[in-house]
Amino acid sequence: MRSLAACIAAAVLLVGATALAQEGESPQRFAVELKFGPYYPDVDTEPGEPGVGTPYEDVFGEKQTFMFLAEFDWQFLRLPGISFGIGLLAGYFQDSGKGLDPDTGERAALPRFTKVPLVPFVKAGVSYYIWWVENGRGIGRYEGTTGYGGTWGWNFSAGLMLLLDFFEPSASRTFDQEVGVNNSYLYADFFLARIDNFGDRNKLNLSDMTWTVGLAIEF
Amino acid sequence: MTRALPAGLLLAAALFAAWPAGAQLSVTFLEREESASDRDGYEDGFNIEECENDMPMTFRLSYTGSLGAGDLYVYLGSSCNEKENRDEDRCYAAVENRPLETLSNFSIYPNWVVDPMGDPPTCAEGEGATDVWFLVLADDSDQSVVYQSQATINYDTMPPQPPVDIEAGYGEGMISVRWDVAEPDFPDEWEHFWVMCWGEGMSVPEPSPEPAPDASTDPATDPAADPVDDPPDDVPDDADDVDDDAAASDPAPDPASDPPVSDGSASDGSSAEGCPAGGFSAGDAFDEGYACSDRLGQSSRSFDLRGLTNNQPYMVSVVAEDAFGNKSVIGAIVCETPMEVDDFWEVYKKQGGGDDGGFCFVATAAYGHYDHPAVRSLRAFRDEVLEAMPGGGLAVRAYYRASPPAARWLREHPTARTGARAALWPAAGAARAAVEAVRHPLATLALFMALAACALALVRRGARR
Repeated sequence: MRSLAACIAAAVLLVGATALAQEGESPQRFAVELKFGPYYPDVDTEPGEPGVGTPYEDVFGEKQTFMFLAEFDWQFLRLPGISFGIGLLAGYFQDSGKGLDPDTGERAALPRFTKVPLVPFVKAGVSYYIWWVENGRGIGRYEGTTGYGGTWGWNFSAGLMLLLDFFEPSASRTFDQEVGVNNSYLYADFFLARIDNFGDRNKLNLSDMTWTVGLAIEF
Repeated sequence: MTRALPAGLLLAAALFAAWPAGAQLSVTFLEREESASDRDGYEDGFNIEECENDMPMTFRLSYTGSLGAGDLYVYLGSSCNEKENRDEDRCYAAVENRPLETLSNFSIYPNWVVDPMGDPPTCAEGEGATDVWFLVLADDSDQSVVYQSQATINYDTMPPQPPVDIEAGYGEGMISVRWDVAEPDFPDEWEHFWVMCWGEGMSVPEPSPEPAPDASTDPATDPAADPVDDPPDDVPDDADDVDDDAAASDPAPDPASDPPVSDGSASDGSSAEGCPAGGFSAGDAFDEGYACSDRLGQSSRSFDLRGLTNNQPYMVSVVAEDAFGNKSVIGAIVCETPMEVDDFWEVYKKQGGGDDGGFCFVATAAYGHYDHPAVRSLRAFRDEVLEAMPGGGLAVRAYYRASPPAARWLREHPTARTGARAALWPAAGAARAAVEAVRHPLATLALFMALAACALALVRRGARR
């Protein structure tokens, strides 16, 4: 079995609609999001001449695996109906696949293996993906090169957050008074990550266009 | 389901009951004989190993105040506090008619709990819980209850079924093992898994010693033993009895339920195609000497065996373990041989991937190769010197933030790359010197002192002139 794993770190700039503040609500400055979504890096668009090789598909197949992400935002400016913020996004992704026979190129014989309840937002940021490739002996190596590194890029996401306070206003107020959590959301977004060292064809391309769903709280 | 039963063992640790004239009798859990199984993370109660090796739980009985009349009785079974139930068909009399003055430690043996109404009690397969009654009965014809407390002790002497559908696949220096469980409707039956493996050159575990007689429960060999601690005659107290009981509780071999052996292997461990000679066999008892994994969690269904030798066959299998620490027999054996394959990094590079890996951006770009000696020196300086210095980690992180654009620019400008290489040579040399100094501090100190002495001699010579 062979695996590729990546740690994702990104700074994001947030622009989003905001839930209207209620009278007596505690101050709101921060947001935390936990989310996940499918991920399939665009490695195969990068090597050599376009279309020559598909190393990622050859080893890991066509299945998508899930990427888990956590984000912390500082909402430095909150205006009626819209907020601006910056934040940090970190995540982890891992995929496992089958090695190839060095002679035939065939896969190894592994087994089969009314407040506003909907709040729109957009985010953009700079990303740095740290990645590594493992085999049974540790980090993969080939002709003096080592199978770990990092790739810069940028990300963009846009989506909708469903304000959960809408369903249980009294519980939401209690949560705010006792813990300081102003709002909680279920949300889904479109997530575009262009992780190719800003167009450098000599870097592992971990770009993908996907979606994520998750839970967010503002406090 | 056994896990849902009350954990009476702990309840017994806090039993207090008011007693006549202000006296109090307490029953506290004292200890259990050490089991080969690490009890951390398992259910409290008796398992197969403890029952077959006759390993009791010991309780301490103590009292305060003046005792009234009465004798201690300990019964195992349901509703033994009711006089009409206290016959041999419904309650096992572990202790009868003991004078209260002899109260001290008291042991509960596993077969009493597992099979209290057996004649004698055995380690028969089963799971459940047994009530233990501590009664003080009046010394009169009615034998009325003047004190009572009760505990519940769980037991599970039913081994789990071994995992099924065991499969293995090879990789480079590794074998990937997958398995499933026979009855996924009852997941609690499989609390843990162990992956077993063996290949030529690996050590063979020593055979388990025969169980020794349990001298601690024999007053003849333990003068400190309390009379109450004397097990009744029907408790096996020598190795032969223990073995007989173990044999009696073992199910008869059932060809239909014995784990199958996969193609290319041999159930008796002899050499077959793709299998090494020796090792273990399907249906053998668990032997930790063959365990190639730690105790894996309940949801585990796969495990990668790493660090294996290429082109050498290995046999692998899986053992299940329940919440009480009972282990299944070894499941079906599969054999696989690790061998050279191209991992993703090799496939990527062979297909023209341009990334050379690593984080040493500028130097790698300048020298064009991550494993260039100068780059290696700078990398070693980063890892062994800079990271160990106060604030060094911060400097490294700052470098990584700032350097990628410079590295990219260098890659695109060959002339500048030549200049950068020249500029980096002294830095690489200094980095190598620093790394060697850190690696060999005494030699460095000696060299430094020798150089200092030479310098001092030169200075003095110059002064004399």
